[in-house]
Amino acid sequence: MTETLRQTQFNEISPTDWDFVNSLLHDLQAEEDREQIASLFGQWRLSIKAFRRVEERRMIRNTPEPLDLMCHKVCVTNLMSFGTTLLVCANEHSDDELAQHSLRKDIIDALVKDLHNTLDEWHGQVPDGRIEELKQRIFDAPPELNLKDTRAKV
Amino acid sequence: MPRPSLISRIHELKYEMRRARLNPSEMPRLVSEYDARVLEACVSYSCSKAELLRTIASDFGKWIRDEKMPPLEEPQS
Repeated sequence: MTETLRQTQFNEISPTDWDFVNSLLHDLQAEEDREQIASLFGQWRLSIKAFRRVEERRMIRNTPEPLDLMCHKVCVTNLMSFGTTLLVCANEHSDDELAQHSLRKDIIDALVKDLHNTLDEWHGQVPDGRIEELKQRIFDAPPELNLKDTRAKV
Repeated sequence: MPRPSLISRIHELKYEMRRARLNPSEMPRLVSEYDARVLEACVSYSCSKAELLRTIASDFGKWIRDEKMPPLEEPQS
């Protein structure tokens, strides 16, 4: 019984999904020809897609386990690091040169900013008490304090 | 638990950014609007960006269920 329970818990927090994302990142970082920025950008985007897929499954649809949080942090910081390196490389080229490879600096920059926001969402160093205080202020406010409807079509 | 419309709008923009078939050229505009709405909320609730993002992160999944949004992993119609 205890063994079954232990096995079940192990399966639930198995980091296999995160391993897959990390292996993609490892391959990406091992790429020898760093001049191939377009190819690296494509692979980075694929890694982000894989990361977002696992993130949705383990962090958004379910309550993340402590191991999920750690693996998530490893992936998001690696993706940010690689994206920032891509930005540095992109800055060595003109917009016209990048456009020849269907690349845009503002897209790389936006993807890095999005990853940074993700880091803040899940790993920002905010005391639990402050989070609870803000949750009450945001979600328990009387209707008259509810902010005006800013909803608009995206 | 009531959810302010501004927070719903922030979740909506995040959902747009996570769509499987999103054209990457849409990202600069979406990130820019997302950051603008987040900063608007920071002013309203007198908190930092990091504090706001940490506070509402776990509400995103609930918003997806409340709004009955399609799972992000599946192709969007």
